[in-house]
Amino acid sequence: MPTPNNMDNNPETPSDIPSWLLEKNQAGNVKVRSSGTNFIAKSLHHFSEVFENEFFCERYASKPMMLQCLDPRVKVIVLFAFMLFSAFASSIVILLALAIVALLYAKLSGLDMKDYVRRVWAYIPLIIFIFSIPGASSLFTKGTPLLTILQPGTFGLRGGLYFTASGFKMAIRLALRPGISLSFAFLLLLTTRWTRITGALASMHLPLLLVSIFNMAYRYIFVMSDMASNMMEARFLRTVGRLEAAENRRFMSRSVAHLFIKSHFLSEEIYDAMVCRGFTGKPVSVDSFKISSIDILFIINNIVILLVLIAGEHLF
Amino acid sequence: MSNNVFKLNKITFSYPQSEPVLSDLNLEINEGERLSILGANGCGKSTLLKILAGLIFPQSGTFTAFGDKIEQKSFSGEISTTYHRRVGFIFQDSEAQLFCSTVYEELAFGPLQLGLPRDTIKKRIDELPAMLGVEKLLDKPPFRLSGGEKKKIAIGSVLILNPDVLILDEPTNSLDPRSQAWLLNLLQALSKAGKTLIFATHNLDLVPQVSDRAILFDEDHTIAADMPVKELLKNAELLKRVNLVDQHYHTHPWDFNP
Repeated sequence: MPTPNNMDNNPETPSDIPSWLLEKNQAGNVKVRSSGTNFIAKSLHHFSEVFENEFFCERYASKPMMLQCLDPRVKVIVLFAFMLFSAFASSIVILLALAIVALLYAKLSGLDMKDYVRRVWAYIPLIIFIFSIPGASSLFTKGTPLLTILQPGTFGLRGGLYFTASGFKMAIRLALRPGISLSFAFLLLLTTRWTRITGALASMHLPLLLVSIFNMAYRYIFVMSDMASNMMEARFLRTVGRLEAAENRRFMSRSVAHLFIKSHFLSEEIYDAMVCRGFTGKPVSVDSFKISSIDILFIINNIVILLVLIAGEHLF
Repeated sequence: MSNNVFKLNKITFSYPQSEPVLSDLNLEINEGERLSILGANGCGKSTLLKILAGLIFPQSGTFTAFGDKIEQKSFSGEISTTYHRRVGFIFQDSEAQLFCSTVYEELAFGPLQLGLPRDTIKKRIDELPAMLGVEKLLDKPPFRLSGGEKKKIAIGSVLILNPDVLILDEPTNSLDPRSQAWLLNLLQALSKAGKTLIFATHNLDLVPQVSDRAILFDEDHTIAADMPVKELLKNAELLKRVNLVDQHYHTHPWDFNP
């Protein structure tokens, strides 16, 4: 009879195991250069964490605060109206006022203001502003000098090089617009359960195919980021020392390809699982929507705010 | 009158640019039967389960379910939803089966899609978690659960539709011994209630406890045996020939005591 825990007597022990595999590992003291910090792995980990803690766990959406109490259809319409208005508004004062409205709603909805401001304003608007700065120079935008870089005549530049007031205004406007859109988008996402958002979109006659795609993307973005993170960890555990940049790039491209293939198989299986439970393409939500007096008050309040901002747009 | 739930006659199926996975397959499954589908990896078990679940359709031959011929061209709308209400499929990978924001929504997904009255859905969701032992998980996102909890929710999300036929692909995967015993008791109770149970598994310890009949796939994708479970499991030579077990495989008399 085989005795499973006794290697010598176990006939299942393969006879062709290479001898080095049965020897004690001697490489424990080998010193290699560290592979350094791993920017992509850290970013992926952070991305998973944000999604996991703030969107999936509905950290803020379950709070009984101002935006959380509203019908999702009202929120979608009002917040989209603000985003749309910000795209057309040209006055910096009005754009700043819109940003303040968003901040006010975030405060009243119990969001962590430090995190909210950092996520909305610290990255995309700032990057856009920095990239727009060359456009604010006298080379591209004519106007009143605001800050002189090169005096007239330097390097053959007859008028010199300076930043213009109108150029700066343009750069600020370019940065404010996406910041405002992000502000309202974050407000909607953080204060509303995703199923209620897509339910609201469906009830507003958005194509069901699009709503289904939104649902699938939301449900599996975490699974995919987790998969990618696991791949990075597995690679880290098998990497000894620093890799060449080219090798790192090859690994990344192979990982992306592998992730794409895996996501394809996973999405097919998910779709099958949904079909098995009666899914026909039409999202159905547990929640039923009902407009209450609070919603009507919120709509009236925001119509007034928008009218004031529109009037202000003509004044400033 | 025949009490066939499924009848497959000369079924052939192949995936694009691949050899046939099922070839000239004949099979009848009766109402209330407990059937295990056995075979080595890649022999066609999962493909057969997907056909029975109405997810894929054979390229030739006839597939009849509940007395009606099932064909891809007519399998939509009311026919499809009625079929999926009667046939529940529990996937091997629970991750693929859990796609809602919370466990509560996960359980409600199927009944909502199939248009069950909201009172009925609420009543079922109030009762089912106690049976599954997941009462405290209702507000949690499914991806935060352990492997065993995910499996329980995946099972619950199908059972809530009260299907007549339950198809399970490797049901004991990721379950600890205690949860396996729980699942076993549940399946036995469902069987006594007249449900048809169909399993695909490699867990030969489980097979005699959850099924009376077994079909064994050969590596050439044909059926090598269709016989009572006890007879099949005692036939070590046959199991070895289809590469399901090795030379050390043996059974004990107590393996067959439920």
